[in-house]
Amino acid sequence: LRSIGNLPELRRYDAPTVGATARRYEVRNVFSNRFPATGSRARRRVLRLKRAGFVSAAAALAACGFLRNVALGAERGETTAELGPLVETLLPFGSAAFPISDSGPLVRRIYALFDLERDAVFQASLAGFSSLGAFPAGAEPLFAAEREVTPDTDIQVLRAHDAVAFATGRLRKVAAFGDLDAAERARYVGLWAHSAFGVRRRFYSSVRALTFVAFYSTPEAWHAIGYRGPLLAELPA
Amino acid sequence: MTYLTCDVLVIGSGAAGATLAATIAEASDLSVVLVEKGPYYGAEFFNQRELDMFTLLAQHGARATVDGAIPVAGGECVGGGTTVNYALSFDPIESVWQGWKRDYGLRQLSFDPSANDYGIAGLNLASAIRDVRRRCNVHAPADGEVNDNNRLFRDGCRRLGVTAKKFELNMRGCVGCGFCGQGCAYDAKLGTMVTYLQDALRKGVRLIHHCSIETIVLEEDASGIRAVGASGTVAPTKPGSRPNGVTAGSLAIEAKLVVVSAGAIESPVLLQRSRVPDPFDRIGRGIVLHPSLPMAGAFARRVGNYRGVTGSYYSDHFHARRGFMLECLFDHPINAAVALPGFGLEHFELMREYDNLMGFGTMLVDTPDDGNRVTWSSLDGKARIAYKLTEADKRRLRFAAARMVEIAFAAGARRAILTSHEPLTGRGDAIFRSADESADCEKLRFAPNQTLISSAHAQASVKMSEDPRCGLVDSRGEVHGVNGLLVCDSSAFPTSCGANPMIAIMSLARYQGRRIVGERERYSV
Repeated sequence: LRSIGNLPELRRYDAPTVGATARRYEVRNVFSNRFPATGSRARRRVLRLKRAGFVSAAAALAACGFLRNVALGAERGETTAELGPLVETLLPFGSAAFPISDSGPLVRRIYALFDLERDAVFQASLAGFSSLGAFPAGAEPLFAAEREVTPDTDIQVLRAHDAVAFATGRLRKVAAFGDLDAAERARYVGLWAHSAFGVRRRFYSSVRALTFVAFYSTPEAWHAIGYRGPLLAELPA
Repeated sequence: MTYLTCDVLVIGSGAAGATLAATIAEASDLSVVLVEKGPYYGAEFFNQRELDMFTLLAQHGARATVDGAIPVAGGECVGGGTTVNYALSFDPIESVWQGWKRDYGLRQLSFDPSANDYGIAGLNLASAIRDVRRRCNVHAPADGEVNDNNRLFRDGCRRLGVTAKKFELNMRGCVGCGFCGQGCAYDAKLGTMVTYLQDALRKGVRLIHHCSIETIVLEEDASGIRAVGASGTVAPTKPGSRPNGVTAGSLAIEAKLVVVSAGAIESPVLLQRSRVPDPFDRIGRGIVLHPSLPMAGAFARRVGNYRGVTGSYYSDHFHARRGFMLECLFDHPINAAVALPGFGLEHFELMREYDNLMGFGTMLVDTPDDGNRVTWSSLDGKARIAYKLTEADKRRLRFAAARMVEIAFAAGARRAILTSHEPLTGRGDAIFRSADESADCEKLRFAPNQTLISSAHAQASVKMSEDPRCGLVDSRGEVHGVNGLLVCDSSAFPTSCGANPMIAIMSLARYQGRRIVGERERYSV
């Protein structure tokens, strides 16, 4: 196999394929619908300006949201957010039938199982969650406002939305998720679980899954739910 | 660097790869190399612990669509999906294959047992299916093997006039541990690892596991573009795996014929990474996942659920008109906890009823859509699965969810629990208190990450079609315009095969294996 050493150069299909051409055509079509080439030059210029204006306004809002998060983080002197309070909300620590009382070992187990410390995306998401970006002064109005947003809108729009909500005083500025009481924590987590924003629901369902994987793989959990484990090493009934 | 030469290189050791390698080795003197990305774990490794056994799955079970909404399970170990599935066996559905012939122009692939496809004596799908059924001991379980969960499902269906039938299973000597999905610790499940792979090894096929193929090597000569081999790396053998025949490091294999059987996610990714010519932009497009919606019913008494044969009853009552199956299965605590809705005390209370739950689900035969696609990400080398349910599929899933609620109550459940966070009932949850509330299923929006949809049957990502504008490969599985490169696995199905695909994949592989031997001069081997 003489050619195996230089594989990337071996065969390139860089010539535009039929599919790629079709895609470019579609893209052009979209733009030609939204910004028709017909009409006067002045009209086209106005449309272009409107588009530029919209983009820069969105960018400014996004920047506001980002700066606010940074400012809130700096205020708290925090670098990384804590997973513990969230885990304590996802599982009923403190309730009578729940088999463990200290969340510390479970949180360490989650970090060990999934190597989360080096996962920059997870750390950033957790920081966003913990900084209470969406915690409303009155939950219901914001919840309703969120409902109006199309589901699965991307993260830029989410940030812009948060920035507007914050600027108009609909968000309460509190220290961190960990400072809330149990009922408020549950309400906040529920807000993420039912959020109109796909990214929030995704974070909720991911952390929920990590927590449940770590907990429901332990003999304590099996005992609490009456599961007898492997038949090869069955636990007593 | 290890260099190997062979006549036929088969990439992937799952339902297709192992069957194909064994069939070729059985019927000819061709030298065959079979490579597998995952390790070679045997029965001695399967410890029936859910957490430990995630290692058998692609990306340790974390593989999902790009929005994180639909986990797409696939086996990544010797035996592939047949090592981690629930042994549910459906023969290929003739009407589906006839439809492919009509719509995608497929040729041969006869269901007539007296047909001689491609002029090869006795070559037809009927004989391939017969061989596979015999080798894997496909049979319906005895009544005594049906556990409580399956009986409840059957009775619930029948009370509503919904037909319920016994699954056929590829097993021999099942002890009823309930851990089919975690690898059979008793070698009672007759997946390819204990059947066709062993046949292949006996016939001298060389198995290399822990081997990631990076690219298929293509060369251009006077006769056109030709696949001449593949290159990749062999990873160090993981603890618990059986030993590997090749030392860790880079690997190059020269082959006259390369067969891609890496499954519906990895096969298109490998073809894209290898820059296989795709003039009509077909690779990965139109993938179907068989989206599945689980349902739990809570009883006032203990239900024997996680022990025994996991799946022994299903219903195809709605299959012909609505395109979905109801299948009875049950999960161990981790998967159950992730599926059940809610968090905190409310969720824990549901989990405390684990012993009182029945479980079953809908498997939707989804419609192919060109917007649904697998692509290769050059950033991390992983597959990106872009998939959205079509509106028509959502409507069918809503209908299925309502029927599932009714079946759970007909079986005697006190509550029926959909794996959803959407506010469906008047109480703002997805926990139904009576069959009358089944109409609330119409409110399901299937918002990603709010309603759990899962998938384990990815198919149709490198479709077979005689028209290169509709599919990358032809009826023989040969890539249009490339010599010596075949695709043979579930990705080659033009659409969903209509049921759990294992036996259909194995039958196709058996058929193609016999055809390759019968047409060996075509490939100069």
